[in-house]
Amino acid sequence: MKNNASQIKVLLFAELSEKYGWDEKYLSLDLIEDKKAKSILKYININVAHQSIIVAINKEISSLEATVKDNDEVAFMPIFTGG
Amino acid sequence: MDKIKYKFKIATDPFDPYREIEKWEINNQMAAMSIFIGRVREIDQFGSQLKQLEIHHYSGLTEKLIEKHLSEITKKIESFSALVIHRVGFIDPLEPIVLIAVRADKRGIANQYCSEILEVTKFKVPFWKKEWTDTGSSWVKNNTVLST
Repeated sequence: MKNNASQIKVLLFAELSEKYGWDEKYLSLDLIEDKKAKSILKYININVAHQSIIVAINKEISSLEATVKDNDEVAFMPIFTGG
Repeated sequence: MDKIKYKFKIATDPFDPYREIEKWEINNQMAAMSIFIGRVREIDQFGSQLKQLEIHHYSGLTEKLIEKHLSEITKKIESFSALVIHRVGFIDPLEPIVLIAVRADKRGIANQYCSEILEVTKFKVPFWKKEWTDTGSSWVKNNTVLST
């Protein structure tokens, strides 16, 4: 539940969401020392090869090395398989 | 009337691709048109009979990425118009998943961008496929590569 300003929204999609049993969480960014997307992934215990993860921050394709700010929406996604 | 340069739609219900093209064509008459209609295969990735295909997407990012790509094409090509429809949710075998229709003043441009937009929907946009059979379900791990 969202309850203060110093938070980020973390989203999981498709197989990741199914495997880890959730699709949306709010986290305090204070818990992530270097504020990087890869550290969020580690904090939420998602253990998958980094090359098989696509990251989006605020609905823009980004990278695991990107720095996240308060109120950002951070999405971790498996490789796309549409079309 | 100004030509509509492109239209992208996420379809949550079954659609008739020919009817969609007919409606779109009214305001988009040009010399050449290429069409791709993708339907659900009857067999899953392991060779079993497919019961249904389930498609997930990231609402908001999907639209943004496709529209960005279509917008970039319109900046390069004056005589270009595209209609793109992609299904999400549960889809039966042989039902349409994706429709791409491209109009241009030359066949080469129409063919080229129809193919290019399809590859974008396959590899650059957040859609995911899950296949359901009588024995359960499995996520599609890798997209098919373009081949003849």
